[in-house]
Amino acid sequence: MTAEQETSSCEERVIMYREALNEALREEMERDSTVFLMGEGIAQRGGSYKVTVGLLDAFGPRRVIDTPISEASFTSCGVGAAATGMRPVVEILFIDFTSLAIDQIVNQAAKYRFMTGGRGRVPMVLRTQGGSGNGLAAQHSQSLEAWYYHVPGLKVVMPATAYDAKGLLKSAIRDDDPVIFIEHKLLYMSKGHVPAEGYTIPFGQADVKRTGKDVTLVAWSGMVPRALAAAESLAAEGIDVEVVDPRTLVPLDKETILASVRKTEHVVIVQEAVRRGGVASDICSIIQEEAFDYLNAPIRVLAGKNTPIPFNLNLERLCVPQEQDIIQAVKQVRYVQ
Amino acid sequence: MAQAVLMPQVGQDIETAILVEWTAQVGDAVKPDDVIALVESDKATFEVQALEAGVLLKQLLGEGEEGKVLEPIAWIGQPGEQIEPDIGADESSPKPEAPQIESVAPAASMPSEGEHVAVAPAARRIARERGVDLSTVTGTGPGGRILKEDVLAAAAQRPSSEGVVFSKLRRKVAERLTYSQRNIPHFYLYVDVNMSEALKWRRNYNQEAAVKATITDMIVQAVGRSLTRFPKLNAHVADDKMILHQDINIGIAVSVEDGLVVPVLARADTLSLEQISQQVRENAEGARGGVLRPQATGTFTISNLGMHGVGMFLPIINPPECAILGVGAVTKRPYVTDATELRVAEVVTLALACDHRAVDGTYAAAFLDELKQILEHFSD
Repeated sequence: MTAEQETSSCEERVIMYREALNEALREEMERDSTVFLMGEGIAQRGGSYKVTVGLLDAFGPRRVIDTPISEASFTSCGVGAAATGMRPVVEILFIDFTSLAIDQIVNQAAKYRFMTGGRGRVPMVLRTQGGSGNGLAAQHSQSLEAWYYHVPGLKVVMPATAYDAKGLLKSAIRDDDPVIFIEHKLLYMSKGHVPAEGYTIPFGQADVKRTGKDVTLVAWSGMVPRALAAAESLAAEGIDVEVVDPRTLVPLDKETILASVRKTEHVVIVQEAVRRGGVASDICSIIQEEAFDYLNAPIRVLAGKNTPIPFNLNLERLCVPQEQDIIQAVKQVRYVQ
Repeated sequence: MAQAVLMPQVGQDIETAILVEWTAQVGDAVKPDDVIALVESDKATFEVQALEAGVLLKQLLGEGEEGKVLEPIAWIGQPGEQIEPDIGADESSPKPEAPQIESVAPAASMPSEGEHVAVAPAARRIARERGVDLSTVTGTGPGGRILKEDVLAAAAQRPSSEGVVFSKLRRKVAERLTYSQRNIPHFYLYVDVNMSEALKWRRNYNQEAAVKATITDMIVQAVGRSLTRFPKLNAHVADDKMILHQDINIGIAVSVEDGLVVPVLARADTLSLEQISQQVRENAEGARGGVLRPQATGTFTISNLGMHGVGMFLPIINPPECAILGVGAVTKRPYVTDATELRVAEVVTLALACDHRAVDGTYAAAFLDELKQILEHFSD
């Protein structure tokens, strides 16, 4: 469904990505009293990106907690609270800063269920945010999903639309394992259709954001709107692109991706993260292994440059895939000059 | 000392043969009569046997390569033994390598035969599914990569009728029969032969025979005997002369896959029925299996389509022979006997095609009558 279709229907309720996240938190806190929020500036300020606006008033300071600038400490609190029966939603404002709490995430949260033989669970959601696009420079612009994708025991969720943001955050909160929920800083103001009634989206179900027959374009998070825009341009040139958004990288819905590849026989995988050691490479390896006989061209991985994100906006744009880059990559796999 | 294995003379007018398959490889121990290779002439495939014991030291032809008859195709000797450098072994003695300046540039720029041709996996799959030979597809992708579209285009271009290039055997058959039909003035005589007595005789004979006789075997024997009195029909004919042969070597046409071969029974007039039956059977099996041992040159041919229910047919002479006998099916037919009685008899129609340059109708008719008499009063 395109943005135009969404706004043209007056019956559909259209809200922003950040509002959808807020609704998800509110609904889950109302539904389950063990759900509480912790993070920097989330209570009184309502969050830097206004995701938690109004929740302090609604649920009080015992459930919506402002923390000091101490990611290791409050992430530890979250892991401990989760292990003892609560459902914390911990917010780390930039994914870049999760490096401060990586031991709590990787060595504690991800391992606890395994090392207790399944008796202990850590139903914690770590909400964080990544991506580039606002000139926030090298320490506030990274796309680090591959770090957490790499660690067994963690689920990695990356919603690209308001609809997905709400449904997936509700599923994340209800999930009994630690979930790294990665939002995108450029998507908070994006609008989309979101039903007023509560709904959840199961993990491991990719969403075909646009159907097409010529090329499979796999994209997630901030690359999804860019991929859809590129697909519209390409449609005008007669190339029919299918955009597949995995939505959750762990668990990964490889079947939907493979079915699309078998149909189109041409693949571009686009990720904002740097190319080296990225999730795109892993998806690429799965496709070549399981759909080799269907490939009519080498799989193209379009990814960020292997460099820290520059402060300069022009240089920043050069470092991550843009709409034109996606168009070129799609043409390349279709052997169009 | 190492001994050369020669390409066999697999037929009288054969100059070259193709080495089809090596059944022994370099380094293999061989002993006399071991088959080391299969070679193919225009007519059939033949086995090449080792004449002495030793180790196969070298193969001088690759599979599919053509070699002249009576020239070496391999060397057999003791392990590590040097092959005489003067005969056909040039390749084995390493020469100082000349600088190959010319070969570098073309190799770098032009795709040489055997160079890797890139094929997209999807193209490979579609080719497999639709039976498209990728070597016939031109790739339009980068560097000539064959794409799915190229295979689909090739599949779509395949015409509804298919051209089939003649095999070597088929070409030879076509060439010889065209020559025969175009150059030999054929004339045809046919005669009905009452086989009732002969078949009765055969039933008794076969009850005790080690090798059961067929109607073909009986006709071969009868033809052999008849020919002893009609040497002009046991001859090779040229434009202005004919060669009368002492030996009566009767060829029997055997249909094989995609062609016709004519294995020959040497001196058929001297063979017992049992010997004929034995050899006819072996030859037919050998021909159908594609492997015939070197044969005598035929002087007369018999073609029998009776087992396929054909009543009578007019065969084409197998040049340079003078005549050919076509045998139809033995069937129960109304038959007027000597006593002018109408009876049901087992009758076969024989058709004789002759080269009118060499023989005339009365001569051929006399032969046919002799043959009829022998068959109607058949005994071994």
